[in-house]
Amino acid sequence: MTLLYLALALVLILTLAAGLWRILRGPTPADRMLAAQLFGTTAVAVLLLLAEASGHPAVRDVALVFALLAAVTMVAFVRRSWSGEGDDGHVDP
Amino acid sequence: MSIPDIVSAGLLILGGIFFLAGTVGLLRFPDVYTRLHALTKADNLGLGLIVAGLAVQAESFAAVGKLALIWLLVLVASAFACHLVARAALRRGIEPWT
Amino acid sequence: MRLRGPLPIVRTLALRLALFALLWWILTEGQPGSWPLGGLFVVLATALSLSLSRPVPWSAVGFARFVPFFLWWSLRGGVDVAWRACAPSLPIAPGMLTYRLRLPPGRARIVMTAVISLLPGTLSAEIVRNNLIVHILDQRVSNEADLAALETKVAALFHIRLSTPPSTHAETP
Repeated sequence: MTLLYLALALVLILTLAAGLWRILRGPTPADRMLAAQLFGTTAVAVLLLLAEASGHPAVRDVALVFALLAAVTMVAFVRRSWSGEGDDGHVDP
Repeated sequence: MSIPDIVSAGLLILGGIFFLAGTVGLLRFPDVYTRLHALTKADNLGLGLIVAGLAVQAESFAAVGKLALIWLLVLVASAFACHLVARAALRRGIEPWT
Repeated sequence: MRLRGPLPIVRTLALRLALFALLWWILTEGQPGSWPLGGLFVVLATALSLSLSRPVPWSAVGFARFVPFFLWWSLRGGVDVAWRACAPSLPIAPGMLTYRLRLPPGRARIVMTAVISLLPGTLSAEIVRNNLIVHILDQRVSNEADLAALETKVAALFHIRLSTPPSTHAETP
């Protein structure tokens, strides 16, 4: 099973590299923003696989912190940008 | 290989396939909006399957809970990020490809 | 299910205590030695959360119905987009759609906006007043019924009664 975890982690890193190529090419600035999402999801998957392959479940906590930071940042962004819009962007206090 | 091993390996490989499909979409789709579709939906399903595959092997119920929590957090982050990127693109006047 | 009077605060308190205890159990992976400290943090976290946010009216039945619906639809969403990305003919026909929201502003709308992006073929792009602007991957498929179904599910989650019938959807030219 360890071999499968490592092979899969490698495949994911390769898909990350391919996605990066697209992000560097653009063509629009919004395409570059996709990097945040691509990294977030793929990095968490790779960390989880490595936690299992290495036999150190503590690596899972790294993935957890990663996911937590991403989620909190995004929720903060959404609340901030929606509450500033006046008419109906109002968010519960 | 035991039966849990086989189930786990199947889920993990399937998850990897969805990550691959997401990247294929990222490379083939014509504009930022369609690429967002590919990235958000395919990668989250891929992560969900990998989490499920690892949960089969997990040493305790608390570890399963932790894996599920990680997936939930990524799901939340990803769904909001997707909306914010699409909105930013629209406000910058990037026309959707039709 | 729906409690009135002084009971909602008791229900909220019990629910949040249980939630933070579950979280502590997950984070420490069930080590029994961590509970003296954990108990303290669970109580502190509950007190903090009660002072920061009022009780949210949500329905346990609505939640129980929402979870399987969400899992099944996000599975469909992933399979759908993976198939479209890999098919040699690239079967997509993207476009925009304006959906008239019946949900009131607030939590319910945020949940709906987030979940839309994980459903098959839809992606929330912008909210202008009561209109949700959705990018769709294939115009040849009807997405409006899906959106209305999702809206009903989200409304049930927060005990919201939707006012107008779902037949008032406006489509952009």
